[in-house]
Amino acid sequence: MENNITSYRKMTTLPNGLHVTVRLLNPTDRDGLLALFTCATKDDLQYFRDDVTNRELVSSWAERVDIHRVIPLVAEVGGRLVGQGTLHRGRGYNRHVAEVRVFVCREFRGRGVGTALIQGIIDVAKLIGLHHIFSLPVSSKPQDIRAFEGMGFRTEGILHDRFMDAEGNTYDMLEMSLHLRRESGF
Amino acid sequence: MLDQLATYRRLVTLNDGLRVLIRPLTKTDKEQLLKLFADAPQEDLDYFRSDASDPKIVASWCDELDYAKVFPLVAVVNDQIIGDATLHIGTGYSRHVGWVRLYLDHEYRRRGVGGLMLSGLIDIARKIGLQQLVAEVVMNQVQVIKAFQNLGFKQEFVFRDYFMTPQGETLDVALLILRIVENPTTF
Repeated sequence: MENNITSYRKMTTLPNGLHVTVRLLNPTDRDGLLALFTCATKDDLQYFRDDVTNRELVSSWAERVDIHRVIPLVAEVGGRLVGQGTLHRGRGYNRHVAEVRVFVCREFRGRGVGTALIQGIIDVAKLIGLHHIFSLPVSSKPQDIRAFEGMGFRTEGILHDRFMDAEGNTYDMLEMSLHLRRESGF
Repeated sequence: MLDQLATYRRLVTLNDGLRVLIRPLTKTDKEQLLKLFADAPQEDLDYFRSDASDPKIVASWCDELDYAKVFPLVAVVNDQIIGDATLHIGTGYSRHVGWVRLYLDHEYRRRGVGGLMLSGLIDIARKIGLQQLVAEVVMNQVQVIKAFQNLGFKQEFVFRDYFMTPQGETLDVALLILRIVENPTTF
């Protein structure tokens, strides 16, 4: 099972001719991952749960991959990391559930890279036998909501005023879930 | 503010004569906290996010106490800790939100102690300027859901199949929210 994840690799040619490879992050990706987050704008930064301007923190993600906690996939185009999708696994009574988070460098948005990452996340979630995965997009990002809807996620609830931007304005977050066919026991 | 909150104290005599002190957990409470969770039955432990049957984990809650991240209140009766309620304070885009979790010794349930601890956490949340409190309760815990609702929490929606029992059965989880509107411009 773990081997299936560590060796996961999917190459897709997008409609615009772009070749994108989705694979597991590994320690040799440290510099590429640091470079990926330097393309995050000030607006992007407020949507991260962690401080991705912290080089030590970002380096640790590449250097210490622990797929039992977080499964990090990256999207690579022409040898450059242009996006990351992570699957944050629940434990204990949430061991059958995981949260999906996706970031794509602005210049590669709207070109199918995010979709390729979400598909990769769905693939690995099925490999490890999760029951369902969910995402929490912010209502101010309708393009993110559409991307998850396009991959089969459905809105199950609204978390009112759950997101606060840098200025202190609050926005709703959506709880969007994708229920997966159970493929293995726990 | 956190220094002031560290001195939080509330001593209440309940209707049945029980005298309960609600105060923040301190590092010196480790042995008592270990005892509280060592005595917890397995069916209670199944509802914990962390493994409270592991003394190392419980000890770390005292050793790594940081009120800015997690603010824990304990209920004390006759110098014994009989309950632990925690306020987990959000960061970044969730810095206005707090998550509430609560554990109470079986002997002291349905006597008002849980409500006292929750009221204490609501006081703390208000003082540090949080805008909403969140509790996630498994739908089969009807009494617990009622206790939250009595304190003003409203069920906003239900996470379907979000909780899995040790046997693999899945249960729905209610998302209960309390709006704290008095202080909406703190951030």
